[in-house]
Formats: sequence, C-alpha cells, structure tokens
Amino acid sequence: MKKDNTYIKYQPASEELVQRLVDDHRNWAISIAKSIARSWNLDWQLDGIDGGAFEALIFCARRYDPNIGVPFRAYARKRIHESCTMEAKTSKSWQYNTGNNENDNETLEREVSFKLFNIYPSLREGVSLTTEDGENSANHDYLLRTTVKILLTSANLINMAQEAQELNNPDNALETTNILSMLANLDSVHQNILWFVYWQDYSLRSLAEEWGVDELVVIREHQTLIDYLSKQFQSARGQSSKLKLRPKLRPLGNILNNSKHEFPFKKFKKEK
Amino acid sequence: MADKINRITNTIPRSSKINKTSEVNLNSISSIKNIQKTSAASRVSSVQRSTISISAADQAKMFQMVEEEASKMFEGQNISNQKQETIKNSVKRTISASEIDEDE
Repeated sequence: MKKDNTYIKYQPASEELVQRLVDDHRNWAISIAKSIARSWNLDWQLDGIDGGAFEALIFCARRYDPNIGVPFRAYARKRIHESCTMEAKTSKSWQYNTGNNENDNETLEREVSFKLFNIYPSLREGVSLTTEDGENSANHDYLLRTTVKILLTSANLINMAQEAQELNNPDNALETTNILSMLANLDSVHQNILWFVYWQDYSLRSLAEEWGVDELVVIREHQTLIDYLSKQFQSARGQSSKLKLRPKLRPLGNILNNSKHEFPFKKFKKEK
Repeated sequence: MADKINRITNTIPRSSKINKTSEVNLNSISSIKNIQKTSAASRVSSVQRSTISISAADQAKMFQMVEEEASKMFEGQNISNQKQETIKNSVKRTISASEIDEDE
C-alpha cells in the first residue's frame, strides 16, 4: 500500500487535521452512501444514509494518525460503509408488511444483503473473497467466480434460516428438508459455525471469541465450509467425502463431540 | 646500486608475560541430552490466498456469473422461482454496494 504523506504535518486528532480530512473526503463519503442507496433502492438523503456517512467520516477523522502510514480512505472505508448500512436498516423505507408483495421481496433482499456484509466484512472494502486454491489464486475471473459462489451459498443459507419459522408451510418444509439433512451430517464444529452465524446472527469474530480460538482460523474454516457446501448444492447426489476439520479446530471438535450438547441441526430436524 | 640500509630499529614488540592457567568452568558446559528422534520438517504452506478489488467493470461480469452459478446451484433443488430470484438479487445488491468507484 502506498504511504500517504499528505497529512503528516498535522497533529493526530487536531482540529486542523479533522477539518482537512472532512473537507478532502466529504465527496468520497457521499459516493459510498450513494452506492449503497442505489444498490438497495433507497434514497441516500431521505433515508438518512448520508448522515451515517458523515458521522463515520468525522469519527474516523478524529482517530486517524497519519504517522501510521495507512492512507485515510483505506482506514475509513469499512467504518463509513458499516455506518451507512446501519443507517439504511433503520430507515422508514426498510419496512415489511406494507401489503405490497413486491416491496416485501425487496426488503427481504436487502436483509439478506445486509447479513452478507456482516458475515463477510471485507466486502465493505470492495475486496473479493479469498480462495485457498493456490493454483488459481492469481486468476482474476476465478476469484470473482469464487466470490459469487460463496455469496450465493451464504445467501441461500440466510434465506433458509429466515424462513425457518415458516416450516409449518408444507412448501417451505419440502424445500429445506434436503438441505437440513445434509447439514446434519457435517462435523460438530461445522454445524455450530452455521447455526450461530446464520441462525443466531453471530459474527465470526464473536464466535471465535466465545470459543477462545483465533478469529482467522474460524473465518477460514467458515469459508472452506461454504465452498464445500456450494459444491454439495451443485452436485445432485452431493460429494461422498465429508469435509475434514482443520487441525487447529480439532480440540474444539473433541470437546463438542464429548459433551452432551446435541448438534443443532439434528435437534432441529427432529423437532420438525 | 644497493639502497642505503637504514638503522635497524627494534620492531619486535616486547612480549608480555604468560598468564597463569585457570580451571575450566564446568558449569558453563550444558548437559548432554539424549539424541532426539528425527521429526518431519514443518510443512511449508503452499496455500496462496489472494484478493482483488471489485471494480465497476467487474460488476457486470459478476452479475452474469450470478445467473450462471445460481442456475447450477438450484438445478435439481425444489426451490420456488421467487426464492431463487430473492437469493440472486440479494447477491447482486451486495456486489453492487461493495464495488469501488474508480474515480475515488
């Protein structure tokens, strides 16, 4: 990353620096707000998304230290994006049950999209998701396609979890039964990752904290799991081999297996 | 013609006295351990993890990929068309909201 010396002469957290940063990057923050509003079919001003952008811009400007050598936009983008999406979620346009089926579908799409950003925070920086396929790691289109597959699989799981309460509806029950029985065959750690992230709205970071495990390990295992599930969904009979747990999570797997804790999807499947 | 030989001066430094011998400090010698069993060298990670920035030009390409990959994923699954559209559109909205404006 190219070092930015534009603000090196200012004292961190000084009024002069804050004012300069806000002036220099105001339009850029607005462009993030507009991008989110456009994607989610909202109004960037009427729905208050611009307010979220400015609030985060000022927040970051006050905390930015030019001596670290990180460009301000790289430092602030994720925070501004997160603030904009939070503001959008609380807007009046983000409503269900308006009696308009089309509007409800649109709100559901926004909900799924919002959760995708929470699960994959790197997307807020406009960065693709990673692949552990060393051979194709330098292939631009391969990385884009991997990102798409991962997002589709995760969106499918989010949508399924949101409709879990509607399993009394025979149509929904039919659609999800096959997927649930596939999930019930996964390793205990994998089942718990899916349960807490997709059904209980945990972030991967908070789940790693709760387990006392390195966050990066959980993030990578989640991505490997989703990659595996995307192949399962595409294959009519599913892959015959079970996904192996990475070594750093095996002690956790042993604890879960030996405890009296019932795996989330086996329990879920029995209830229905 | 031979050069004039200069006066020979004493260039040999005066030798210092020989130090007394001192006993060897056995404490500084570490104990000998048993020969350890050989173990495999740690695996060098060959996993490369790369990321790229998603640009506006990539967005159109990714939207096409969403359609392609979704049709593969939903094939054989009993998922309603409405649900399929919801899932595809939510991914497209996510891609659109994460692209970096090249003018930034």
